Amino acid sequence: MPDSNIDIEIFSVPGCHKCGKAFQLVEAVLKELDNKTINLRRVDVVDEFDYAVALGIRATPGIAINGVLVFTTMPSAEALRKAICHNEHQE
Amino acid sequence: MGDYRIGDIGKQLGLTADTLRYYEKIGLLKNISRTASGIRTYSDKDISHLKFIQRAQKMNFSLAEIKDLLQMREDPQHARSEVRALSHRKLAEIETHLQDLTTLRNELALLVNLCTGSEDGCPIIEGIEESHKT
Repeated sequence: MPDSNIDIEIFSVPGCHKCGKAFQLVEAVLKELDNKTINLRRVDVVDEFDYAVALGIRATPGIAINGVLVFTTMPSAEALRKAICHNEHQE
Repeated sequence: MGDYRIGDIGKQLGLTADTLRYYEKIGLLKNISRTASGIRTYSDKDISHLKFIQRAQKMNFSLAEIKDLLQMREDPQHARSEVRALSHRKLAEIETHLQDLTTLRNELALLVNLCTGSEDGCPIIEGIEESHKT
């Protein structure tokens, strides 16, 4: 049975230096996990302001997994890995 | 407890003597005590009513509505059905208003954080301005 998809969204804004680092971190962790069912999307808060607010974003970077805000600041690689694995097992 | 003169109320709640007399005249405030020399004195309960009036006015309740709600506050068990309906309606209005306020607070919190977190001005404001131009 194939795994269900996991959606990871990184909320960023132009001029946010940590956002780029957060994106790189997520990409590195995903490469390491080598899970093809994970979708990564970068959300520009300027473009999707209402969506960001509804999800609870109060600052950038923010990381949501499957539509739930999980990190409100830059996570460690380990914390990110755990959060992704937790969602994998929930699927 | 409490034996406040008009001046005390003015200092505490920012209400004028004329306003207090008017509230009494239209029945918003009832049974205001007076000293032997006829000077009005207000109790803690009167102050509680006045604070309720001020809050309700901020929510654009009419004085007539406030009067009905104050009557219900005095005797909730025997409130008229119209007043009960009014209280339900006003509660629904407040809930909606609270949701709007919460959303607005969250939007402003995000804006503030985005602006203070950037060394290059306020990217989100500039972004929104750009999107309005197109």
